[in-house]
Amino acid sequence: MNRLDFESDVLVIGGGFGGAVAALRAVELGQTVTLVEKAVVSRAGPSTYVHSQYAPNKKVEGEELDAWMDEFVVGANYMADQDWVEQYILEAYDRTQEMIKLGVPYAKDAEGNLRYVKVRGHKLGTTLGVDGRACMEVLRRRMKAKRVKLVEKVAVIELLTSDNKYPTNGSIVGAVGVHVRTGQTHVFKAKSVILNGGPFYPKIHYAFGDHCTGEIHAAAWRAGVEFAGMEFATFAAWSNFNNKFFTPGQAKIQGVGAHFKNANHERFMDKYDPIWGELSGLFQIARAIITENIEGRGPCYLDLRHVSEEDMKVLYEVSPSVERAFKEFNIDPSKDTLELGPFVVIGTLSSSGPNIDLNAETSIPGLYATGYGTSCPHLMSGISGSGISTFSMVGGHRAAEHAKKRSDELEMPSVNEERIDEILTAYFKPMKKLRQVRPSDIWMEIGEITSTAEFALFKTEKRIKHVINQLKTVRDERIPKIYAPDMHELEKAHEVKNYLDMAILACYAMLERTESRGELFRVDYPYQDNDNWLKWLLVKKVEGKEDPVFTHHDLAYDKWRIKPPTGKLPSPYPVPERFAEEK
Amino acid sequence: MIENIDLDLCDGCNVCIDSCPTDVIRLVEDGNPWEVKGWKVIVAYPNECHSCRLCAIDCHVDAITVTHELHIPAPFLNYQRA
Ligand SMILES: Cc1cc2nc3c(=O)[nH]c(=O)nc-3n(C[C@H](O)[C@H](O)[C@H](O)COP(=O)(O)OP(=O)(O)OC[C@H]3O[C@@H](n4cnc5c(N)ncnc54)[C@H](O)[C@@H]3O)c2cc1C
Ligand code: SF4
Ligand code: SF4
Repeated sequence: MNRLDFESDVLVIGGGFGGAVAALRAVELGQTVTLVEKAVVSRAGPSTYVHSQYAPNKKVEGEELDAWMDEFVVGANYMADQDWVEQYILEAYDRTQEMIKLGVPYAKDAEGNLRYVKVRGHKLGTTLGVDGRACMEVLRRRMKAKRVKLVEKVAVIELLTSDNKYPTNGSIVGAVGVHVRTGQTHVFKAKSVILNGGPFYPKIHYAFGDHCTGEIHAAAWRAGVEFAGMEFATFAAWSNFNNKFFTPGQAKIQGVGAHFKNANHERFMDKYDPIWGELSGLFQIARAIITENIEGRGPCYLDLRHVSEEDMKVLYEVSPSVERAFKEFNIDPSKDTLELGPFVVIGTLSSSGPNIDLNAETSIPGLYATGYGTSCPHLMSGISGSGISTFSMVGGHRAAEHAKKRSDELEMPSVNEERIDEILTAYFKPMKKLRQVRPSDIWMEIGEITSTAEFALFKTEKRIKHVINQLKTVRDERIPKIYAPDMHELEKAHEVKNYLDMAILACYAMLERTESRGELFRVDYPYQDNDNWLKWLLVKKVEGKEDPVFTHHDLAYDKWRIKPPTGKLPSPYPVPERFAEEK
Repeated sequence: MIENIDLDLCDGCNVCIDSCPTDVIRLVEDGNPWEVKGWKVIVAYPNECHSCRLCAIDCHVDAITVTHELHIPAPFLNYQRA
């Protein structure tokens, strides 16, 4: 099959909100743009499932802006880059106003006015309801009309560097992609590259993210991009009901006043999170349920029997899939309780990935990143309320503007054919008959290693190191034996390999942060240490070093207005005897 | 997960094939190798469906049934092990 070659000023990889906005802004500025997407834009990643977007109802200014910022900074536990927060709030308004002009069908009230709703956890910030799929359809049509070159069902497998080195000392000159069904190879050449590859999850069929397993994260990592927040790469949920079915809308279910009960009919959440109780975050609830279970008080149940009919109606209105799921499984929430199936896996929430500056530029000049697949400058927290899609648009727009300035001064770079051949040979290698290890076998092995209470919930230095060693054994001994008889399996082989690399990196970062904060809980450091750890952990691949190299990034509190608290805050989370720190 | 594609309803428009982000649905030859009758749309990798319903939403004759059933691979739910 002939290779397909593309050349453009800007290459966008991944077609979520951020990628689409970046592509549209770049063409508007006179750039030629190619956007490559592994699925089909609007039938793809998490952007398709967005139900509301952070959308300030006015241009916020002056003292009011300070108050809006305060909500974010406190919500993000003072870890947020406050310069980013400021530009995010200001430009979130501009970006959503543009969406409105493009005809995105945001929710309206009976009089036909936009229905701004307060963000969960915020007194000031507002959101607009929207069907992500409909919104992405508008953006896709617009991109076609504006002659963005859309290349769909093609997965990018590697970035191309100017010096052919990984990690590079130069810049990114393009990418190599493969059609996920036909195996047709694609080479993209560009002056600037914008990454919008989404989150990384294990392939466990939850949260509609099975095709987002960290390929773009891993490609950026290999190229030498600096990452931040990898120690927080933990994804948790509790809505695997009766061990049979699930529905999105967990936060909404909590919102109507759900009770979490153990087998003794006791409500246990206050014990684990005295402040938020049953309104706590997904991770906090999942780990509390698992702890109740392992202490012999399980199984645990979701109880909605006390919730008024009116409140249930509201819940069904904002989360129709909850109603559909209950109907499908004959659940009458006024009579039945539901058994809870919690899990905790290594995966991104919204603070793990390439570190970006105010222009969404990564540590490699001319390589930009935005959206769920970045560290979101640590401003997206549990209470940032439907913010990632808006953050992604703000970053995408900024990346396009910066890329335009760059590309005016640049010639189209050349790519190295030998290197492209090497990349493709390595990718297609599992099609040569090797041992009969299937990608799905590797996923099972990863689950066995990481889904244990001692690692996922009760981390110590020793336990993290043990998991790193086990995952490395899978990487070194099992991955080289994968056999992929067809294109579909071949892409799955690539997915699991890249996830594994990112999972190992996350474990190294968990080892490095010696405190407990957010989704990272360490039995050997059971407190939030604001004196030593109100800072970011940056990490990079360095030539000649096998292990990742960490540096600490102090936050600019001397110039920021909102000042952080000090001292050590002990974690209220009880540790069962048998998971205490080993002596 | 995706339960079924009702081939009596399906007119072979192929829309669902591109709707599926995980490429679970495919177009294959109908009949047997000696007697190919044409093409049909099948659920080629049922275990890989992540229940997003995009295929069902896009099918113009409602031929596709997607349920809320979820099968998280067992090793990822092993927390109760000591
Ligand atoms: C179920 C669910 C509901 C959510 N609800 C909301 C909400 O209501 N509001 C909100 O703001 N946020 C919500 N989020 C968070 C949401 O993910 C983000 O807000 C936003 O959609 C992320 O957009 P993005 O621009 O980062 O791109 P994404 O939508 O994450 O898109 C990334 C794209 O990259 C593509 N891709 C992946 N790998 C490759 C590759 N190798 N080559 C080429 N392309 C690739 C994927 O197919 C995907 O289309 C939700 C997330 C989930 C999972
Ligand atoms: S529900 Fe989603 S993942 Fe499943 S077959 Fe349909 S489109 Fe594919
Ligand atoms: S979208 Fe419906 S009618 Fe079209 S091929 Fe798929 S199942 Fe058949």
